[in-house]
Amino acid sequence: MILKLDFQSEIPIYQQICDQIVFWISTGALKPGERLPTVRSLAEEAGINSMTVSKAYQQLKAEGYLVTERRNGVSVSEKFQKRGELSAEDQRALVLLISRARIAGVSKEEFLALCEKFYDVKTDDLERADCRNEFSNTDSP
Amino acid sequence: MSLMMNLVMLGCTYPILFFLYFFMKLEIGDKKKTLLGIAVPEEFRQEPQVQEICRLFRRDMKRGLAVMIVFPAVFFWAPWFTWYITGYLLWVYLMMAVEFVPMIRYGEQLKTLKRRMGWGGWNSGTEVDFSIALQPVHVVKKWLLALLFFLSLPPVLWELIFRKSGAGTWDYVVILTAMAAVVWCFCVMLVRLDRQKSELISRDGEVNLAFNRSKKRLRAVAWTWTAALSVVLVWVTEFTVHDQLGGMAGYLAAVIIYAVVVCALVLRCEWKILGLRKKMMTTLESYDSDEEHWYFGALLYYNPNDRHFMVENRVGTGYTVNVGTTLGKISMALTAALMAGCLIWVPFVVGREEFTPIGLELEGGTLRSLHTGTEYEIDGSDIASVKLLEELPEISRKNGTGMNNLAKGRYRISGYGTGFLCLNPQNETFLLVETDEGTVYLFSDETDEGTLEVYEELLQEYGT
Repeated sequence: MILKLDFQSEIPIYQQICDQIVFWISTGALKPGERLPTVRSLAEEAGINSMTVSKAYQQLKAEGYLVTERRNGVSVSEKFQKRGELSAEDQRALVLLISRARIAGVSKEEFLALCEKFYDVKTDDLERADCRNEFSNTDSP
Repeated sequence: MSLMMNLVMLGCTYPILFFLYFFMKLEIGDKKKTLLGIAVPEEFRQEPQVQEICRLFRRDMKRGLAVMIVFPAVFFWAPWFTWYITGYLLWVYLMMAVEFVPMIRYGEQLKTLKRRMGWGGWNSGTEVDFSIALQPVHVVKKWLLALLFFLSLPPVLWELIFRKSGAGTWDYVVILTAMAAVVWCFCVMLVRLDRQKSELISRDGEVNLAFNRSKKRLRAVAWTWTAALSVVLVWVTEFTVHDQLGGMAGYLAAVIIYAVVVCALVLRCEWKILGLRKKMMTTLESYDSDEEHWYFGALLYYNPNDRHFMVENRVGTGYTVNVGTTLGKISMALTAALMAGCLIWVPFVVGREEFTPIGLELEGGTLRSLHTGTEYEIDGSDIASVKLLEELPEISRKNGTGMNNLAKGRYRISGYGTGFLCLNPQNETFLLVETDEGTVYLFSDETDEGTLEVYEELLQEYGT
């Protein structure tokens, strides 16, 4: 798993980290219970401030994607809340995204095709360059 | 400075010229997957424009090499050592320039071509492999570095604490501190090496992990050995300055052996890393995304968002500093200042030594020999004997200055043991002074007449 950080992007670095971890969890690249790098080692490897990584982890913990255990450090949550629906915040983000797609001239069919493509992405597809790039070019919700 | 010393200096420097040429030439060869440090995808390497840039680069490098091979003719036969050392320093700097200028020029051309043609450009930004972050590779043994650090200290402390008097004490302190500082620098560098940014050569985390682990291990071993050898050199220096080992010739041989072994260790390690990278590398994506932070072809790394102080060199091998960090800026400025300073300071100091006349006088009952930064004073009542020699005995330098027209410092004097010299070896008359304590001095004035004059004054005054 290659974490990509774009310093030129308007999306904050901590948010980029959050987005990619959520993406990996959704595709199965990061499995429930799997350990994540420590704040210090990820910050050292990426050459960024450890506060940035800490902020990303805190947010993911608050959203229930990650848990902290005394022995294992930070790992992917074993149990996600499967509400079967998007949160109000995510729905707002989706509405905004659809609006942007509509303005950009993306037809409903094309939009749904894209949704289908990304919804079906699995771990094996992650190494495909087009998939990675399309993800990294997508704005944060 | 003798012809032999001049030859030794040239002999030690010529290999650097060929090594530089050899390593720079690798930048367009098959050993590396980048071209002049630029991530050009494999399928475009044979494009005519790319081949033309490579051809021009090779041509310029060859021309530069040819000029540098004959350049020493400008200074080798110079009558003054100041001229020699200035020419020598210029030669070393030009040696680097003739390799780096084509690298910058053609690297920039290749970068522009790549952008124009849309080669690569998979993505931009910094990439981090989660596998490496999950299992950080730390290979440097800190206890070993601490041990080397402490082993390098005793000679310095010995000179500082126990040697409070006697000629050249502060010289020894400075020399030994400078040599021990090399060990300390290696130790700091090794600690930094452990935190170096990992290189992503594959999309497979296991491959990246294996490569970075091997790379760090190879470098840690090579540089730890280098630090250990530097400790040995500090001790060899300590014993040499106190006459416990051979004279200057023996010491010079030890330094040459040290330099050769260190070069062999480092080159072997870097060669292995090059081979390993070539074998394991499956993608240039990470190189490509990082390219926007490389300037002057791929020579200078500037990324203020990256907190790493040292990064892997794109061109050649080893590390370079990230000029985007404060520490990187300071170290780059210091390096530039040091290089410029050397070119001014070294000829100035050598010139002052070489062209300042030696002074020998008897004043107020004290015999005084003067030269820049050196002053030997012998009270007339302490003089046991004075001899006028009409031929310079065979001398061998222990430490001090040795030039065609100046011999200064501690020397072994054939037939008289070890003594202190301040004379012009080209003269024909010398004053051999022995004190009541048994210390031997061999002096001369700038001219033979001056020496003779002082000798006669001594005879008149003390009748020794």
